[in-house]
Amino acid sequence: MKKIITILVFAMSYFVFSQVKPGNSSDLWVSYQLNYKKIATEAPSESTNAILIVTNQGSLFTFEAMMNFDKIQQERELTEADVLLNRSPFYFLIKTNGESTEHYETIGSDAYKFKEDLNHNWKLIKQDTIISGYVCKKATVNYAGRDWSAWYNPDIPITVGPYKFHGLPGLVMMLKDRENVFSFIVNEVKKGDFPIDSKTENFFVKKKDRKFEYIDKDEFYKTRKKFSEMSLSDKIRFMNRAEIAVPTLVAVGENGEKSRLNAKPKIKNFIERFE
Amino acid sequence: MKKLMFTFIAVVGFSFASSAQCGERATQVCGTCYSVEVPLTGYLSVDAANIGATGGTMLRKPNLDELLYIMEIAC
Repeated sequence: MKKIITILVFAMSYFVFSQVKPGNSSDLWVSYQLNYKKIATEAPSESTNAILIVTNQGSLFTFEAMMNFDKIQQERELTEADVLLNRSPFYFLIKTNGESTEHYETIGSDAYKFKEDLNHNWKLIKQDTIISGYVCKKATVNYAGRDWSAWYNPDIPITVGPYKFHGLPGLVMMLKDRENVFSFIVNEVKKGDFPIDSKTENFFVKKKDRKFEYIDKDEFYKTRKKFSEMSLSDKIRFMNRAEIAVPTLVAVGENGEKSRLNAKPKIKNFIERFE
Repeated sequence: MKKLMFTFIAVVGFSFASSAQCGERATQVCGTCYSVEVPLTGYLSVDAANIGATGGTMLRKPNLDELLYIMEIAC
């Protein structure tokens, strides 16, 4: 049994760090698997890939789907097929520089950004665990209404982590909240040259006259909550509220019959939990 | 073998993304066709423009922003 565990640990270690290649640059590309409960009352079942890029100029955290949007929009406009094939549970991007973070997110057709100075009060716990062959240390913190546990790797001495969880003396290898609504687990670390596109709008569905507007943080969370509680039809109406003819979304059946989509959605989980 | 795999991925990708079954004024998301219905306003110039733009159906495809939220609920 011990032998099997040893082989498994070495195999996982090889899988995670097989692509850590020494390059000219000290940039890091970290891929996390995010497991999340999409809806408050339902069992966890969904997962997606999130990416953390760490450079000398700061770091960026977003989703693989949004990285794909960026890659495409550096060359051409997005198509319907691009959007259908690159699904993300959230559409946000976090830039971190020291303890200062900048949060970019779209709510409907509006694009917002706000700054946050976070000085997490991490509690370092005397408890080790092995993740992907590396001895990781535990730390806990309360952030935005949830209790989080992180396991970090002091052998990779970078102080940033997924989302806004920075300030630990090593790369965050695993992070989860106490209710297991969200968990981030490292699945790949690469070293090399990973320039960050300065045109943040490329990571989102780009619109000609849309710019990221500064908003108060509390106002942002209030607006996002209100929007997430709207029915799909109300969301579409809200997105087109400036039109003279405010449209409605309909589902069209095989024989052309239309049905309205006014059902209230189930409550969506966000990383921030405000009652 | 590579060619076969590529063709398979392309076919699967196309069938997932294709809206052909929904017609040109709707988009298929996870098995359902979605369309945005534009109402009449009573303003002649606005209504005339919308009738023209929608080919008289007063229906249009969801734009890419709208599609993100349809996917969130529908899939």
